[in-house]
Amino acid sequence: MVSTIQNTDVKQKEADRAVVVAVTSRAVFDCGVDDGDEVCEVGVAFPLLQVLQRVNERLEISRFCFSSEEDFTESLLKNNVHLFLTTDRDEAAQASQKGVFSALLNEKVASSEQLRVVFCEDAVIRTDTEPPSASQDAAQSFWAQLGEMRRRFGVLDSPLSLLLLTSRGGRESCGAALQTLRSRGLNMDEAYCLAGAPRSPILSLLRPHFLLINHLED
Amino acid sequence: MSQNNGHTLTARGPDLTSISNRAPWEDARMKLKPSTPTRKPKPPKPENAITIGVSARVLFNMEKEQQIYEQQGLEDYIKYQVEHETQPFSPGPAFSFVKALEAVNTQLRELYPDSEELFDVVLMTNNHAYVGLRLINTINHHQLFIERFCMTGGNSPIGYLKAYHTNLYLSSDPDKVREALEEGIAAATMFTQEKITEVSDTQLRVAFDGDAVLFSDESERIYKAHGLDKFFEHEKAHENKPLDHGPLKGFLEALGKLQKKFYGKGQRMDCPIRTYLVTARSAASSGTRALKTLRSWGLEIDEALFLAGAPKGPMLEKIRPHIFFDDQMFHVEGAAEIGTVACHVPYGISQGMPKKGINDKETSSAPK
Repeated sequence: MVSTIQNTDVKQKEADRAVVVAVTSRAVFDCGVDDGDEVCEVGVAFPLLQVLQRVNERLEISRFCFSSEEDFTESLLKNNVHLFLTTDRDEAAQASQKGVFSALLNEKVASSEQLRVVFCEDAVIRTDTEPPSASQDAAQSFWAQLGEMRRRFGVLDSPLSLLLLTSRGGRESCGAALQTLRSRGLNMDEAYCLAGAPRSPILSLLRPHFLLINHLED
Repeated sequence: MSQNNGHTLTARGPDLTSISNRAPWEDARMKLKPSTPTRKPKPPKPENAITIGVSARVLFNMEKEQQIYEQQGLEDYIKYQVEHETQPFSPGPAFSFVKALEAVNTQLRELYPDSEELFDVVLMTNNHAYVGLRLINTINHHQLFIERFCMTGGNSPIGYLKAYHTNLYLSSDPDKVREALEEGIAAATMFTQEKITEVSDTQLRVAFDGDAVLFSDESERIYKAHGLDKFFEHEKAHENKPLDHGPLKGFLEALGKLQKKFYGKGQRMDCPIRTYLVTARSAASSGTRALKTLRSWGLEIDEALFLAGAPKGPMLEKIRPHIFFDDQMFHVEGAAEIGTVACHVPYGISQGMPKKGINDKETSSAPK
C-alpha cells in the first residue's frame, strides 16, 4: 500500500513536463534514534533540496511530495519518478532494475547555490550490441529532460551546471563523449579528462550533487 | 572510432563548408579530426610526472576569439568557437616549449621504457566545455600529446593545479598566475609575441633569472633600499649564506632530476635538457653567492651568465632558450623584442605591491 503526503500549498505548472525527483527520506533528514518528537538534523541531501528549489524558483514551478512505502519501488513507479536519489547503493540498484533511473547522492557537502550534475564517461558511451534495458531507457529520458532544462538558462549564472568527467580515457574519449552528449541535446558547461589520474581529488573539487554512472560499483 | 547510438546522421565525413553553416545545437555528428595514428603511450601518474599546466591562450593563438569575447560577450564568443570547431587554432607562445617537452619525453621513453618520470602537459583552461571540441581538434591537428585537461567553465583552476601536483603553470592571466604562486606552485605569465626566433628541436633550453625567480627577492630589496654598491657589499659579505628559495627553484630541481637520468645513460655532454642562469649579478662580486646557493641546494645549472647589469637581450639571442623566466617586465619585454619566449614571474619586491606586511611604495622597477 502506498501512502502519499502531498504538498498542496504550491501549484504544479505542467505536471506532465515535470522532472520528478525522489529522494530517500533517510538522506533528507538524519534522525538518529527515532523517538517521534524531536526535530531531526539535516541529512546529506539537504543542500540538494535547497538547490533544486533554487532551480525551480528560476523555472517558476514548485512541487514536492513525500511518499513513504515499504516497497518503495512501487511508489517510485506510481509517481512516474524520473530520477531516484539515495546514498544507499542497494536501494539504487533495486530501483534501477525496475526501470527507475537512479543515482548516488554525494555524501560530502555540496553547493546550495548551483545544482552540479556530473556525467561519468562510461555512462555516456554504451555499446549497442544489446537492446537498451529499462534502466537505460529511463536514463535517456532523464537526460533529455535535463538537457531541455539546462537550455532554459544562459551560459552564465545558471543554477544548473552539467559536467563531464572522463576518468580512464584520454582526449579521444572525452571528445567522443562531448559529441555524443551534444547529439542528445546536452551541452556540457565543464569538462574534465583525467586519463587515468586519481578521481577523488578532482571529484572533491567538482562538488557534484550527484553522479550519473552506468555501473553502480564505480 | 564510431558511435552509433541509433541517431540518424545528417552528414558524413569532413564537409567543412556545410559544417560552418550548421547551427550549434543541431543533431549532427561531426567527425573529429583524427589524432596521431601511432600507438599512444599511457600518461604517467601525476605524482610521478613533472606536470606542466598550460592555459588554452598560451598554448594556442586565440587572439581573435579573445577580442570577440571582450567586445561582444560570452554567448557570441561560444557561438563563434562552435561554428569554427573544425578550424584548428594556430600555435601560441607556449607551443614550442610544449613540443620541446614532448621531444624530451620521447628520448626518456627510449632510455627508460618503464619509467613514469616524464613531462605531463595538462591543459588547464577557464573556458567552457563548448570550446572543448575545437581544442581537442587543434591538439589532434598539431599532433600534441595532451591527454589530460580541465575546462572549468569560468571557475578558478587553482584547485585542479594542486590536485595534479602541478610543477609549473603557464597562463596569460596574471591574476591566476599570482594565485598559483601564492599556493606555492611555480607559475609565470606568458604574452603573445610578434617575433619568435627559431629554437633547437633536439635540446630543451630553459633560462632563469636569479633573484626573485630561482632565489628569493631578499637581495633585490637591499638593492632597492640601499643602492647598487650596498648590494654588492652585502652579497660579498654574505657569500656563504645561502639565499632563500624563489618560486621557480622547484622547477629547476625537477629539470635536474630528468637531466640526471640522461647522465646515467652517458648523455652528459649532449644532454637533451640544458639550463641557464641569466642574471644581472656580477661574476666579480655578487655572483659567487648565487652559485654557492645553488650548490647548497644540490642543484646544478649548466651555464651561469653574469651580466653585471648589461641588457639580457644579446645573451638570450645567443642561447636561444625555449623559455625564459624573469620577475621584471623590463627584461621580459627586452627578451620578447629579440624573439625569445619570455614569461613574467610576478613575485617579490619588483612588482611594486606590498608583500606580506612590508610596505614598499615603489611602483617602477629600475634595471639592475
